[in-house]
Order: sequence, then structure tokens, then C-alpha cells
Amino acid sequence: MILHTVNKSPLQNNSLDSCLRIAQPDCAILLIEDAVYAATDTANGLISEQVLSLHKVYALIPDLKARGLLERIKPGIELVNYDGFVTLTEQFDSVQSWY
Amino acid sequence: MSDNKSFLIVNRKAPFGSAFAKEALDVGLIAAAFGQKLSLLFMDDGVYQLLKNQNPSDINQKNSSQTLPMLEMYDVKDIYVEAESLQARNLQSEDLLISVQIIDSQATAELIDQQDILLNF
Repeated sequence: MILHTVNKSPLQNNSLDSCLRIAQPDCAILLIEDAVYAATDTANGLISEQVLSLHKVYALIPDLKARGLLERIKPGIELVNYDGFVTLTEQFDSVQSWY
Repeated sequence: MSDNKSFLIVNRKAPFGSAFAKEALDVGLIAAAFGQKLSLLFMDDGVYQLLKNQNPSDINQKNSSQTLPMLEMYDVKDIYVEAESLQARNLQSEDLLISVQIIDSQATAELIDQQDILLNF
């Protein structure tokens, strides 16, 4: 099982597209840095209902807070702090960084 | 000195992921301090620079968005946002922390066309 991390804005870069194309159903996706826009109602609908039904999707709280997005999170996305980030990296066999 | 030239700073990047937003604002404030004819345009992910409630204390970055209201003190009033970029991000003028002029792509093209100097960030 793989933890996929994405750190680029979904509207300016295709990292998230590639991640979603490759990620297998038992894999989790963690949105960090500019990729946290994808966790909100301010970006395209890449993180769809279907994606959320296939994958656990996480977003990093400090990056959401920095960008003024904490009130705009899409339902179904789980928020984690830095500690949660570390825990996730421990839970999965490896980490694939899409950057 | 020769006549003032018109400058347009084009902001197309989200804040924090790179230094572009901060540097654009620095350049804008310097140009304004020297009394240049300055306009700012925010489009694409650059519109995210204007979002309210930004607080990067937990990622150890400076909150440049707090500097945006200073532009008015420097008499920079020509701040434009491309409507299509806002729409694509489900954002409205109420979501932005300074008052801006929202213009469509055609008007954006004309704005760019009118300038002497274009600075892209």
C-alpha cells in the first residue's frame, strides 16, 4: 500500500491528475502545500465523490490554514496535522511524491 | 527624468508554494514608493493571493496578504482580477481581502496591451 502525496495546485499543474490515474484503491492520498486547494470548493472537481469512495483523502491543516481555506473544505476529506502526516508515512509501505 | 512609464505586475501564482507572490508585492511597493504608474493584475492561481483569512504562522512564512492593504496607502488603486480565474475557483469579490476591479478576459487583454512595462510573477 502506498501513500501518495501531492504538493502542486490542481489548476496549474497535472500532478494530481497523474496521481489519481495511478493510485490504486487501497492507497491513500495526502494533499500538502499548494495541492490543498484541491481539498476545497475553490478548485476543480478532481477530488470527486468517486475518488473519495475509492481512496482515503487527507489534507494538511497548516497548509490549509496558511491559505485561508479552513472554512472551505469539501466533505469527505480528512484533515491531519504534521503528527498525522508522520503517522501516515509509518502506516504505508512507501510514499510516492507527486511534485 | 523621463516621463513615468506604466507598469503592470501580473500575478499568476498561488501564495506560499513559491516566492513569486511575495516578490511581486515587494516590487509593487517599491515601484509605488518611487511614484511609478502601477497597476496589478491577478489571474489564474494568483487570485488565491487575495483570499481572506490567510495565516501561515504554522508553516513559518510571512503573511504577505497583510501587506496588500498597504497598496492603497501607496496610492495604488488599479488592482484588477480576471473574472474567469475567479469563476474557475468558485470565488467572489466577498472572498477577497481588498477591493478590486473584476474584469473579463477581453478587458484583461486590453489592460496588458496598454502598458509600457510588464512584470510577470
